[in-house]
Amino acid sequence: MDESTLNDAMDRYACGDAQGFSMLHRVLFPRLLAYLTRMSGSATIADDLVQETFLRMHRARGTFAAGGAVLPWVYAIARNVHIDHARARKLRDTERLPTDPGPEAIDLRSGDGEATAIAAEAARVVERVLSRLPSSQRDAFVLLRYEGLSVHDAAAILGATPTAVKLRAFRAYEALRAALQESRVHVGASKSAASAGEKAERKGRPAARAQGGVDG
Amino acid sequence: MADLEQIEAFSEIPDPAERVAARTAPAPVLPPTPSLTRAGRRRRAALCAVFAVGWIGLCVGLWHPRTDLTNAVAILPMALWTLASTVALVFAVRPGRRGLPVGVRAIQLVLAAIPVLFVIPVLIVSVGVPDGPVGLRWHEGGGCLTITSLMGVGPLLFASFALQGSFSSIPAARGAVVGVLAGLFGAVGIHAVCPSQARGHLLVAHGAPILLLAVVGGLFGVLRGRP
Repeated sequence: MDESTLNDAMDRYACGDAQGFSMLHRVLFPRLLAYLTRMSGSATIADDLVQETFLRMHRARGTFAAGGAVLPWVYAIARNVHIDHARARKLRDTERLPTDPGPEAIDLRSGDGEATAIAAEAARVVERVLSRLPSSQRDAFVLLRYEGLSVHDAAAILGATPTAVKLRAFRAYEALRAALQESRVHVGASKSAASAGEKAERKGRPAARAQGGVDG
Repeated sequence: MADLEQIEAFSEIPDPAERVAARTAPAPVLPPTPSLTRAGRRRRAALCAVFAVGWIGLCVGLWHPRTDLTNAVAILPMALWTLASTVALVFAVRPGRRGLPVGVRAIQLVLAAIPVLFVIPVLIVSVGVPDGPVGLRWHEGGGCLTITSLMGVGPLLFASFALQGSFSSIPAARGAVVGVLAGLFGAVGIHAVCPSQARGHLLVAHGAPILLLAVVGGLFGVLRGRP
């Protein structure tokens, strides 16, 4: 659905047309769920926050300017919901819940399993780094990278200048890239250790552990 | 400094919520709580504006207008402050780009400009006028400070009621703008009552409430301004 259709739906909803809400809910729900999952670190918490976001949208619909853009407006509300939630919970980094259910048993010798494990590890690294970034950097990066908003829209949501938003997002990007490169080094070391163990088995020697280096 | 190419490089960072983004929406349930439509909000804002002006007029009537109200010394500052606060209010609360509230630079401009626009007429009308004692006692300025604050609180409360839920970003700064403008309206009101032209008295007793209400407005912005 293109943005103009969504904006028209919000205009109608702001004027009292309840049917506009159905369209908005259908289109915005997955986007807001993903956004709040990235911000809170938990899909379970994000579910509740999305419901709160739609409730606040309903209460604030009269403030939506005629002919305005609904996406940045909604993201601003969702961000406020997350801020209130974080303040209420007094969240610390160690309290963030993992978005994924946990590591599954993956056959590292299988190509698909290896790719899946690498992707899952990368996602965990990104989530961990995001949770430790200053909130200003995290907000800017998430809005630009994952939500696909323009720099000007992100600046309006965050109450900052476009230059400040770009700078914050870039700093977040550098931190994430450094963390991902470091994790790839570790994954490469693990793969090398696993390969060394397999070769030792084929030659009849006791296999070394695949992780944590080779025992003496 | 990040430019467009570097921002495009962001795509190499994987998305930890990729699976979540693919979920479909459940059936929508319209919240049962009532909410104002856009037309309702506009009616509320218009009523609040009328009440705010009426409050100033009531206060001026209670404390009796100054006898030299038709003099230029009285009228010109009031006219300038009224014009400045009205223009600034419209500038600050109008929808900006893409219907969003105006940006942080516009808010900072208003917060910086209003005190200056208050001080300049004060400096002009106080030329050649001897300064007197300035203090918190009623006859030394405390009375005018109290009345100015009281006059400004009315517009601040009405504006807060009309604008609640409208500050989607930087709510403290936007609330402070509302407070500053309410304080300036209060200064208009007290200037219609108090005939003093002493610089210290005008700056402190008539001007300090502008800063005081800015702080109160900022608190409102944080507590009730965000949607």
